[in-house]
Amino acid sequence: MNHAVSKVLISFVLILIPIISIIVSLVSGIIEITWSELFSLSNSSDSLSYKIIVDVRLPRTICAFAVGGMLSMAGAIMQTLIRNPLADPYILGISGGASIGAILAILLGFSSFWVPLGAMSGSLVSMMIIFLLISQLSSFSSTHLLLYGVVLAMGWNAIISFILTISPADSLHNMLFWMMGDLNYAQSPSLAIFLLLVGLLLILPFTKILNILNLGNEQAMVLGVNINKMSLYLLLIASFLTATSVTIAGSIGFVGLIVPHMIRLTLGYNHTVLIPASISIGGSLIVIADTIARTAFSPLQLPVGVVTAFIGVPVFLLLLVKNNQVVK
Amino acid sequence: MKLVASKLSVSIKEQVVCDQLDIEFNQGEFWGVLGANGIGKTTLLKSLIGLLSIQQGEIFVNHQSIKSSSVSAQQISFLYQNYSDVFPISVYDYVLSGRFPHVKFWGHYQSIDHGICQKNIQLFELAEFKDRNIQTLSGGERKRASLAQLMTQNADLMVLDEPLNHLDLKHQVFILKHLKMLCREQEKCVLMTLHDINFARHFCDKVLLLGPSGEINLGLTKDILIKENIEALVNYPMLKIQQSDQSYYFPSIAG
Repeated sequence: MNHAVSKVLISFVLILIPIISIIVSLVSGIIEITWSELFSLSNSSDSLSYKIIVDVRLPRTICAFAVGGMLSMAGAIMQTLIRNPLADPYILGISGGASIGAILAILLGFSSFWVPLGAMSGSLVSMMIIFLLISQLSSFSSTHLLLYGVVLAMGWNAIISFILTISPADSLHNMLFWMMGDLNYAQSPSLAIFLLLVGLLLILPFTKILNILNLGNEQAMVLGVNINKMSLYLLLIASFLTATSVTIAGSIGFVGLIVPHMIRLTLGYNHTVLIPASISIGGSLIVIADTIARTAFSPLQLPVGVVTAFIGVPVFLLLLVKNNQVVK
Repeated sequence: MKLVASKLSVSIKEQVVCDQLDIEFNQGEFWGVLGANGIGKTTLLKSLIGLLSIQQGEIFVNHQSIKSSSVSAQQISFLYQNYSDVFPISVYDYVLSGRFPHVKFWGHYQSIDHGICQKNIQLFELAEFKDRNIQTLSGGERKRASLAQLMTQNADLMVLDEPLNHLDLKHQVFILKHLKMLCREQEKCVLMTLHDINFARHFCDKVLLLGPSGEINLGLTKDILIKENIEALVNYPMLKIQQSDQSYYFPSIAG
């Protein structure tokens, strides 16, 4: 296929997939909404379907997309920064810190308004510890960053287990749900989408440098990249994206790890494509996963993180196997 | 292009690599650095171009301190001995990345960048691999890709850490001849570590011999790479073979 044509086609598909998944999410739910109702919303702002879609489903769907996009972008950045294909947004323990804040808020019986605030404080504390540790190094080291993060995450996990052990049975369900990723607490979709865009705008000018960092820190250094400054900048953005998404929706696993790999396997490693494509696919994946989580066993809701894994694992394994055959 | 080190002291933990070394690398010069394994050749190279911090002394590039931000990757390039490729990348894009220092922050790779990249891919016989993932190349092919990338970067000072290892003989001679040509015709300065005495004698204008405990012997190749120095350097008896007006050195392995 012609190069320019395939470029246009890929961009088109990457825009189409989120739109389709968002529309599907909006019409699916316990209360059926027909397509004609969806497209005549603007002239019936008092109807029940208007309220369900605009007040209930739309904010949640937008939050789902923003969270998926932020996690996937953060994952792509972290994998390059740590130079480890197994890195994900949670590898530095930011989600662990957030979990502690969130489940403490649940444990203490605060209203659901406080749960995201607890998560945010927890993730910020976690970020501060990481930056404090990194600042002690004479120069940036991916290995140190990785080890600090992994050990910190282990510490958080121990505290989480402790809190879960002493918690009364009636709050355990909410805690576990939150930790597996839960959009029930999702608030302020416009802020979520705004932060996603800010993250994207802060990264896009540096995608060329990210491509060079992919070659390794040593290579990047002799090609004139200021490793220390660049690494801190990327770490800061990835951390904030992670903290924001965990604050909105808990620790939805897996998306941040596999979506960037899915894009690399299909569209290549170029970050100018990888970053926007990760947002498109990661956002859509969570929107679809949340739709399934809401509807599959309704009125019972599943944690969205469980569904992302159910969709993501087979797709990812299939891609890996197929890709391996091509290499041979 | 001129790189000057004054009173440079470098050591690896307790081991002294060089002590109060004064040295000057000028354009058009082809330098060889020779020494036994682990004597500190790589450390010296990296220290000279600012990749490692130095214990003592100062280094200047065109009279500017090497630490100043005006010293760029357009001026100095470095070829590592080994690479670990974590992520896949095509050979073409890898070689093209050598143009990164020449592209402005908001800019893109231009057709001139692609042209230079293409030329070096041809030159290093990588055309048939150009879409291959770099992780799947053999050791020698990977080395040629690195060399092509270095040539694409086209810096004034090219520092190469054992560029010859992994390469077959034909490509070893080719890269040496090519670097020599760059020195003569484009006034590049080349600084490389190597182990082959005969290549060093033939191609290097100047050599720097590293001995144990920081002894350094440097100067014109014809003055320095003589039999007694060579034998001291390799710590092994050498055989001199005369062929017309050229002499060659080989370790005496018979008997």
